[in-house]
Order: sequence, then C-alpha cells, then structure tokens
Amino acid sequence: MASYILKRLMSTIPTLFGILTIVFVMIRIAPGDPALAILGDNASQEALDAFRERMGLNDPMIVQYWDFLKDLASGSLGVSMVTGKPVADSVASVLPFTLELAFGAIFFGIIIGVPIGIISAIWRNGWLDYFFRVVSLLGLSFPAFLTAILLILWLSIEWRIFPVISTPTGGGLWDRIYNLILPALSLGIIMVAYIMRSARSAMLDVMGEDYIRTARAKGAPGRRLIWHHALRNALIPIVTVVGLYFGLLIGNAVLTEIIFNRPGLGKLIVLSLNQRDYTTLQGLMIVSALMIVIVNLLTDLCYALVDPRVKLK
Amino acid sequence: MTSPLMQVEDLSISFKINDKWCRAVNGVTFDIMPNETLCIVGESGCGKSITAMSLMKLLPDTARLGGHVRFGGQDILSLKERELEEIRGSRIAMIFQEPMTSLNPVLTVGEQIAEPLVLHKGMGWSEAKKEARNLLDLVRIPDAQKRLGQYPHELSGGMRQRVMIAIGLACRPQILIADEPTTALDVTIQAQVLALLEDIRKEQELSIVMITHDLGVVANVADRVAVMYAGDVVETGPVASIFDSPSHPYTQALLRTVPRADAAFELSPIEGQVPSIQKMPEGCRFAPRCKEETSKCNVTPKLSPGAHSVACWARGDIQ
Ligand SMILES: Nc1ncnc2c1ncn2[C@@H]1O[C@H](COP(=O)(O)OP(=O)(O)OP(=O)(O)O)[C@@H](O)[C@H]1O
Ligand SMILES: [Mg+2]
Repeated sequence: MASYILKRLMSTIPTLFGILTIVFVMIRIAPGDPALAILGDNASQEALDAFRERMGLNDPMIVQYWDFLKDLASGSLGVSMVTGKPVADSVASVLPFTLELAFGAIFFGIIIGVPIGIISAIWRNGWLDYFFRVVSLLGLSFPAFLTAILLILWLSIEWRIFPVISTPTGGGLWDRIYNLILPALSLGIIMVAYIMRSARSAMLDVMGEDYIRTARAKGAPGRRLIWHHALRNALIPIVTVVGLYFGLLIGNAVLTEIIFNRPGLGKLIVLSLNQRDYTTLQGLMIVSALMIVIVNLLTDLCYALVDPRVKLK
Repeated sequence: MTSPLMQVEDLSISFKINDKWCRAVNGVTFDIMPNETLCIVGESGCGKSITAMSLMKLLPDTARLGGHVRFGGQDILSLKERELEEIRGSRIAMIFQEPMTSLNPVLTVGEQIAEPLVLHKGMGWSEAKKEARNLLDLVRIPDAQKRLGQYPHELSGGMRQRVMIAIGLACRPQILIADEPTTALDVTIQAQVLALLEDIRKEQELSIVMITHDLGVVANVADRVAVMYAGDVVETGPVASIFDSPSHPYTQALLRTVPRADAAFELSPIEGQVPSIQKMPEGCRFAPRCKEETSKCNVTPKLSPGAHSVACWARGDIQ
C-alpha cells in the first residue's frame, strides 16, 4: 500500500515537471512588468532597474528557470517578489481554507447527489425523477457565481441564516463550519448535479444486471437489493465522476472564494496576478497541480476500496 | 398416486411491444412431481426462460401474466411481493445460465451463500457462514474455508456455477429451477455439474426443473420432458417415451438434430426459425415450418390427455 502510493507519486513527477515549465514560461511571456506593477508608475528608472536586478529579472529566461529549479529541488518555493516572505508560508496559510471548501462541496455533492440519483433511478420516469432531472439540468447550466449570488440573496440577506461575508473570525471550530456551509453548498450544487446524474445512470445499469436478478431469486427484499446489492456496485462509476470533477471544483473554488470573500488559494491567485508576483504564482500553480495529483491517487485508492477486482500495483 | 408439487395451468406471458401486447407464452400447462427432474427443452427464443422465471414470479413488471402456478395451496401468480420474497430462495430456488454475471462481483462468496439463510432461516451472519462452509462441501468445492472469503472473480466458471447451486440449495428448497446451468461451461465441467445436480436431487428430496436446449442433457438427467415451441408446450411425457417414440413433428425434428448411436435417420437441422413474438402465426405455431401441415392447423391444437401427450392435428390420441 505505502509502496504503491510512493510509486504513484513518483510516476507523476514528469507531469508535474511539464506543468511547472509551462507555468513558468506562460507567466513570463504574459504582458505586464512586475517591477512596474509592484513599485508603481511613479517609480524612478533606477529603482525599477535595481528591483529587476535583485529579482533576477534581467537574466535570460533559461537562467531564471535554472534558478527556479534549483530552489525547487531544495524544497523551497522561493520568496514572494512583493512581500519578500517565503511563498510556501503564504500558500500554507490559505490552503486549509480552500481544502475545506473543496471537501465541503464534495460532501454536499455526495450526500445530496447520491440519494436523489438513487430515488430518480428507482422511480424512473416518475414525476420525482423528472423533477430532479430538470433541477439538475438547471444546476449544471447555471454559472457557479450566479448560484452563489442567489444563495447569498436568499439564505443570507432574506432569511439571515448565514453570514454574507464568509470570513472565519477565528472563533473556533463551529465558527469555521458555520462560515463554510454556504460557500460549500454553492460550490457543491454543481457537484450535486453531476453526481446525481451519474448515480442515476449507474443505478439503472446495475439494477438490470444478472446478479440483481439472483438476489431477487434469493428473496432479498427491495431495500436490500438497492442499498446492499446495487449501491455497492454503482459506487464504482460514482467514484470516477467525483474524482474527475474535483479538478473542475478547484477551478470553481477560486470564484466562490472571491464572491464569499473567503481567504484561500483563489484570492491569493488573483492578488498575485494583479501584482505580477511571479514567484507566488509559480508556487500556487505547483500546489494546485499537486492537489489534482493527490486527488487522482485518492480516487484510485477509493476504487480499490469499493471494488475487490481492483488490485493496487 | 403422488400429487404434483407444483401445477402450472394455462400460463401465459405477454409483453407490450410498440403498444401491442404480444403473447410470448401461450397458455402452457404442466406439473412438477416430487423428486423428479423435469426438462423443458426447445430452441432459443421459445419462451423457456420466461416460463421458468414465472414459476417464482420473477419477471419484470412489464410482463403480463395469465393462468395459475399452484404451489403449496397458493397461486404464486396472485401473491404479493412480500409473500413472494418468503418463498423465493427458501422453498423455490433458481440458478441461471451465466455464472460469470450472476454473482455479485463486490460481495464475498461466503456472504452470498449465507444471505438466503439469514433472510429465511433467521440465522445470524456467523452461523450462516458456518453453514455456507457445509454447502461448499456439498457442492464439492475444495478448500471451502478459503473460498468463503474470496470474490467471484477469483473463481473459475465451473466453480461459480457450483457456488450458484450452493446458494440455491442453502434453504433446502422443494424445487430448484435451473435455467441452462451448463450452457456457459465447457464440456467436461458440464458433465460434472450435471452429475452433481443429479446426486443432490437424489440425496435431498428435491425436484429440479431443468431448462435446456441440449438434448444430450435431457437424455442424461430428465425423468420427464416438456418440449416447448414458440410459447406452447407441444409434447410432454416420460423421457424414455419421448426419445423412443417422439410424436410431434417438432420433437421429431429436434431429435434429428442430435447424433445418436442408434439413429435410424440422418442428421438434419430444422429449417426456418422460431417466429418472433411480434409475428406469431395463427393456430399451430409450428405449422409454417412443419412438413405435415394439414388444413386443421390454423386452429391451435390442445395437448392430448395421458402421460405422454402431444398437441398436433396430424396425431391421434397416442395412448
Ligand atoms: N422483458 C421482455 N420484453 C419483451 N420481450 C421479451 C422479454 N423477455 C423475453 N422476451 C421475449 O420472449 C421470448 C422468449 O424468451 P426466453 O428468454 O424465454 O427464450 P428462451 O427459450 O429462454 O431462449 P434461450 O434459449 O435463448 O434462452 C423471446 O422472443 C424474447 O424476445
Ligand atoms: Mg433462456
């Protein structure tokens, strides 16, 4: 198990290497000058030159790249061009917020999406099924920021259940969860739609399988057929969908964080972009890519958990 | 005279296809006696499987059933789902053609065998697992203890069919319905599985309804035979009588398709095909393929009375 995980992580090194090379180049060929962005339009030419020299921006790109890799190899993400603080520190200070948002959204996606998918499958073509399918279609076609704004209008401003600005004030675990619910729900709605659809079709497929007929022939009651015999098998495609859309989720989390004014990778990305903070951006991209890699790994571990035919090697 | 364990009376099965009800099984009648093997034989698409499944009312809701299946003083076809659940797997059990897909891939063999015991006998899981071990011994699976913890994909096809049989036998049913249990297996394994079923039937006061299109299987295991064609039972009787003096033109044609040591005739396939349920001919459904078609054949013939009976206008009462 541990050796499998290690092997998997090692095998992603080439991919990660490719990603960070692309990120490195793209940031530098994008228009905008970090010296100007950071020191402002009124900075003197000497100040600008001194800044560029200090940050190594005058070196050829290949030299900058080499320095960057050297830093990385020693386990350092470098220091921010703007604040001078280590990038790793600023990423680490906001990463938990994004992680809890993403996992909160997945949580809502699963606890809402799986049951309604199953209900839809059981009463296929009934009114409940049509209702859920229409709602999920709406959920998919609404842009994430729109659902977020609607949720705020409705649950925060109209009903005053949740705060409008979901910045945890540091009041302990409950405060943290309280501030998480609305953003996670808003991000989770897309997941609900995806998971509901895959759960529905997976259940429909599985319910037509021979082994369900076998279970009926044994005298297993309907509940047991669904929750024991069918669901266990339907989980396999559901895990695939959850893993697949996790990447999408991290992308959408950026928007959600901005709308709800939450700390997180999203806000940091936007801030660093505006300031042309190359080093921080690089660090953020590496961490995001790493997150996707880890999610893929977790997905495969989940497969092995729900499907005895999958062997980890 | 012993009375039948199960009486199937005028069973009909229809499916709605393009808004039209099509009769796939057209009023079949037969008895299942205690301690016998009844073979239902016929070409593919004759309605053998759906007939077998209606014996425990296992067809999907889209099927419309008519007639009666009398068992233990009740009519299976008029029972509610709750009452059926009590009978299924405990007094009537069924095993299927495809051992590869008929077992749940994510549950252990032990759990799948123990399940009917937990459902019907009120056993706890640990007690049921112990009994499952004995059942694996009964179906002659070596290394039973180890097998209990394995998953279906770790077993061979023949082994899986034995597991299916163990599941079927778990609650000591009175009737075991076996729908082409050996079709998916290779020949040597086929023979082993059939021998196993025969031995178990003799040991355990069990009736087996064996569905097959293989007359070799029929010759091996059957006590009585019902020959089905396109949703009708066209001939039924004791196995020796059917093989020695087949009466219905369809039965005769079927027998000509298998090589026999004492064959007085040449091997020949039956020309034409089983009609689809959407385009059933009027009257005797075999008439379009029959060499002995008469002017009466546009009316459905009834089975003649007696132990060996036949539904054909070209035959008198053979008894
Ligand atoms: N759910 C269904 N809906 C519509 N038609 C069906 C359904 N199930 C079976 N049929 C039809 O009923 C007829 C009999 O099917 P059945 O499976 O009983 O044949 P069979 O004799 O068992 O053949 P085989 O040897 O191929 O298993 C076929 O023509 C089939 O198309
Ligand atoms: Mg069949």
